[in-house]
Amino acid sequence: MDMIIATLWLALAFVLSLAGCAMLAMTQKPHWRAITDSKSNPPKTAIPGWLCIAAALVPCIIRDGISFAMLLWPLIFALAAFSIAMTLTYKPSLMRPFSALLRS
Amino acid sequence: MKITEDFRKSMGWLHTWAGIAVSCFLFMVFWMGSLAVFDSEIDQWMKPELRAAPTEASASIDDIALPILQGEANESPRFFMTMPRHRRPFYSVGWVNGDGEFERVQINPQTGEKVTPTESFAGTSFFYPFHYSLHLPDGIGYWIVGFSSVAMLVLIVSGIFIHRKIIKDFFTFRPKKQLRRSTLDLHNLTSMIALPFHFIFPLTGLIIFFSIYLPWASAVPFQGDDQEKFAAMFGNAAVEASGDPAPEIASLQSYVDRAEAIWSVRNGEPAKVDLISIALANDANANITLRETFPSRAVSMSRNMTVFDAASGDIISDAPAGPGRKTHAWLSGLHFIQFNSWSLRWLYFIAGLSGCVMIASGLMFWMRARIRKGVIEPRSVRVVRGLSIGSISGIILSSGAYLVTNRIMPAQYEGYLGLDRAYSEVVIFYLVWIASFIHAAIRGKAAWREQAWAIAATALAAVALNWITTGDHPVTAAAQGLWQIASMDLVLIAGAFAAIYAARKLGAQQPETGTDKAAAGAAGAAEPAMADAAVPAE
Repeated sequence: MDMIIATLWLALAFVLSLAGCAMLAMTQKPHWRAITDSKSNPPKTAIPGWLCIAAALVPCIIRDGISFAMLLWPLIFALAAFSIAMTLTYKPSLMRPFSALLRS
Repeated sequence: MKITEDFRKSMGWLHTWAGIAVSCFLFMVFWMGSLAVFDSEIDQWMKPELRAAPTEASASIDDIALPILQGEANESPRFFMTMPRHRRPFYSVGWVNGDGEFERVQINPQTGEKVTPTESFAGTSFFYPFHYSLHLPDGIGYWIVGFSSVAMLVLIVSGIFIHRKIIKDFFTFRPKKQLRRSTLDLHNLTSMIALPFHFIFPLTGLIIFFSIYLPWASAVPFQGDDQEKFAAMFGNAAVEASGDPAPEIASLQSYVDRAEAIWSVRNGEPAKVDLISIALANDANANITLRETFPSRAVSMSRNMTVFDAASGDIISDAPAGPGRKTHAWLSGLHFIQFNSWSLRWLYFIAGLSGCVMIASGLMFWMRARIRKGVIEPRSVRVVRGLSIGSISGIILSSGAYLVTNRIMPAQYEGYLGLDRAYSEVVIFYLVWIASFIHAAIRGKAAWREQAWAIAATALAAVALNWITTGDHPVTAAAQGLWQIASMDLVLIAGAFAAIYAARKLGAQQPETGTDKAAAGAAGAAEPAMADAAVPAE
């Protein structure tokens, strides 16, 4: 049970980082246009993006304490950033539902 | 300060040439460091006798230690013992035998049986020391690694200044664009996303060995007296031999209990003794040092050390760490990662490999840029390419060959030409490595592809040989709870596929003529070359 909860905290940190990175990426015109396949202008989601990335620190601290969180957080961010970069390269349309969510 | 074009240019110059100077060494350090993250798991893979699922010890410390202390280690001046932990499920006991040689045994914590593992340096004594010493004599390796680490810090800072569009290109990778462009994208991507990791690792590496790189600070106050220095810094207690016979040690467990009680109060959480060592074990002045080297639930390492007098049982030294040592303990602990966190362990491994890709793509970008400047391949490119192939795909290949050799050589192999089994494996490693440089010199660009195929074959052979020699293929290993073995095999298989992918992409590549146009035609070809570097052929 403990292990499941620990994994869930980890997953939450990753999802928050992923959302944060996605929002940051969407502020860039080429990425936004690749995702939405449109000529519209990118949304201004940089601040919520940074907030999501910062928020990912919280589950890390709850899971492992501040000492471990200082290591876990930047590495989870790296993994999330890499995932977003690869999605944008090979299948940007995967991020379309998320972009629709932001537009509404 | 305004970043002028002139400043950017000089940073670019610095980044280029510092990079060319140390990249090959940095790749070796990053590669071996990535392997060292799983050193104990590699040990168990290479020494099948030590494969065991982590369990609680049922044999007590005294059951294990006292028979040896009173038996074969009776005359030994030194004695040490490490406790079974999650990644090393056996007790390890060492002493000096009658011939003056250091002897070491592994003991099963369940049965108390002695285990004789296959003779090999494996992960903890080959890959791991390679990471910081390159196995060069007289400490030369430490200085090369130290110099490369400083250069790495310089490279990161200068790299940030020359990167024009950090925000804009942060998530950008364009494999279909011009070759040079996609190589640079990959370099930027892998450096930027794990930037804190790439910065903190060379830094903490330097901090760990501060007394090697900056010996003067302690040389003056202690006048070169190491014992005094260690006593002041870490609370070691030096004793002199009396010549009288040693006191009988009735129980080590009682010392362990006392030390753990003191430390638990001090840490505010339960502490465990990881290491017991006895100095002057055959003398009346014997002392017993207990250490908490690697707590499982804290980043900081070497938090506590208490020294007891063996005759009276009194505490000789018990120095709580001050702020300086605490800082050092946290910074070196994060580099050593001996704590119990599988998520961090895997993330370190991945980040380490991303560092490998960063270095390899940086080198390749330089070669591309050079080729573009002239129509024919300049000699500088051929030299750098040869060295790069040898130190990138070459070291991956020889690491794989090391594993294969370990499985082919019988466990009882006596060695050859005066070399014992463990050294014979190392010789094969170096022979393959040297051969990869020669191969690169002869075959030029094609060597990338050919070595990628060789890496794939080696990785698959390692998995197959592990199955044949031990019967533990990934499924049976996982079923027995041997996740360390199953994961290692799976990483090897994944590495083999990555290498095959790289080799095929390289095979499809157009012959390089050196003009910009031709380079653009060979779109996407840099990426497999880079993937090559990322092959985790453990």
